[in-house]
Amino acid sequence: MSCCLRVAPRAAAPRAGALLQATSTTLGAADADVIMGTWDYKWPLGSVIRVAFQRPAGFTPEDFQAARAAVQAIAERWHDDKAAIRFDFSTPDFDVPATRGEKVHPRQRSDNLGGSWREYDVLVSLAPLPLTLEDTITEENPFQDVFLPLSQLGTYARRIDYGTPTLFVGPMHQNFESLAAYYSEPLAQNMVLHEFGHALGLAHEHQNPILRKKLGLEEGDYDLAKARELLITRLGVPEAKLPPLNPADPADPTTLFLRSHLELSWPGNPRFSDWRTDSDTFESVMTVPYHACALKPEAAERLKIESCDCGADSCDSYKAALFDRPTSADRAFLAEMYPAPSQAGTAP
Amino acid sequence: MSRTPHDQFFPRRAQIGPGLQPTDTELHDILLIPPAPKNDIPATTPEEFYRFPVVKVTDGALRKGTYPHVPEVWDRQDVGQRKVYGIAHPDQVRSDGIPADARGPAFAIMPIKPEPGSSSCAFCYLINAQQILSPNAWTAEEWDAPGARDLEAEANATRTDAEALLALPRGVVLRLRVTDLDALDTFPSSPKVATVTADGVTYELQPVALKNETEIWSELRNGCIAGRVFHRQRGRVIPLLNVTSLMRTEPARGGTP
Repeated sequence: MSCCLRVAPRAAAPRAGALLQATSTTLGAADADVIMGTWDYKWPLGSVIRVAFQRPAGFTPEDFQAARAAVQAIAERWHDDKAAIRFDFSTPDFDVPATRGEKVHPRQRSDNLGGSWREYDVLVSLAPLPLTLEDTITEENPFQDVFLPLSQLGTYARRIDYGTPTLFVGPMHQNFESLAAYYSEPLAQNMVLHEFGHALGLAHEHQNPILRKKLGLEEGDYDLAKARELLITRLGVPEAKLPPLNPADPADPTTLFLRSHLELSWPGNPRFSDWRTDSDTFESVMTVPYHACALKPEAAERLKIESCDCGADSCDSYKAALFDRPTSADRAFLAEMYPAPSQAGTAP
Repeated sequence: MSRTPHDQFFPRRAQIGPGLQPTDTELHDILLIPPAPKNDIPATTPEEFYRFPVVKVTDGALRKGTYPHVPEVWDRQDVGQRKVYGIAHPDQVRSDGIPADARGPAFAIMPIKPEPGSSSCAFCYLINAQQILSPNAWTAEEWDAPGARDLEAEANATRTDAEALLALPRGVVLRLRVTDLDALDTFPSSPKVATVTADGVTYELQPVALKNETEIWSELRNGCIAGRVFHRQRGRVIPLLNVTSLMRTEPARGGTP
């Protein structure tokens, strides 16, 4: 349900849009000295993440302001006294995205950037999905499809050009009375929470290498064809954005997308990473709600996860995964990752 | 002076005159010593440098403090170069028993003071790419995309020993040497402070718990060689030196020899 944009230096970005680009690397003795992990995008303790919004085209100012308030209220469900990190929503809004021009590259970048400077960390787009972003600077793969909500991971948001969104949570269907009303839907609330979790620096729990090993989740445990079907039927991803699977093609965009969101473990060295280790389940805002339904039956049974094969919105196990606030395990992990001063140690 | 297409590819020679001698100013030229020729980086001859001159006096559209000029090429025959070269390459001083390994400052702010002395000539900021390891142990590891090439880690990342000299106030230089660094692979939750007192001086050593020192981690992962960072546990800004970026690499293990 979500995507986390990560940079892959010297590597062509996969074609299926912005991906959570996990790897199949299995941690072993050879990785003991790899200096890399989730700390690469972790915020400093005590950070106040300044969140700005970009006004979407096609909605009234009143509707946008109501939607903005709704998204803020959902994101603030992450706030916890035990965690030394929080969001601040006081940054003035950015203008609607520019159309293609000579001086800005139109990665959904705001217009009128010459106005007053606004410092921010995360810029939220509420523009309806899917979107195609064109980067006129990048020669290779200049088009990026955003067909699911996505967010930059943690501090990676600060690497994105000024005025360009770092978090996309716009509506995925057109059946809403108003933009604000869309964010009262359970799926929309879950998506907003999930993406703001990424903005806090949290990765997917079903891709957490320690939890996967602990609970016995393996690479081939997902039915990727079913996962594709669920994305199309439940989340409204346009079929054209996820062409039928062609596993024989190593560059098949659908396979790459699904593998990178479901099957592959998060890379990095546990010495330099924050990964949840004390959970006995995958229950978290930071899983994707269709992941249990995409498990092969034998895998679901082995993992003691309630699976289903109904593929419908009424599916109980799917509904159960639509958390509308962080789970207690999510909160505990966030507090462990960003301990409040009493736990983090102070200057001697 | 109008620029010709030729200027773009063949920078003009440096012009040094009396007006460009070191002055008491914060407006500094930059001297860049390019990387040593290696593999597909032929670039310059070993003794060729580039000066990026700063505008020291506002003159029409040329505003004081800006760097609008094409860099100037210098070599060892130019005025003032021996002063600079002597600082950049201490290995050029012949001395029996000392290996001729290339060495010298990676970054320097060259002194401005009356001659005679170690004053440089017109150059102030020195960047010597030949003394910088790139990538270094902290920057080499990448995030992989599915199907992407997994690049080798920089060889120093796996070393278990290191040594560095730290220049301190009052004319004191401290030599720091550590061995068996792999003992920290299982990082203690409360790393101990080792305190030693010798000759009346107290030395304090402590591995930094990077889990809660994100700024330090982030700066190192993003290429910091020397700078200042906020150390949360100490509650203050402290100089940071990335020793791995200045270490030599064993050629057999990859990286920059």
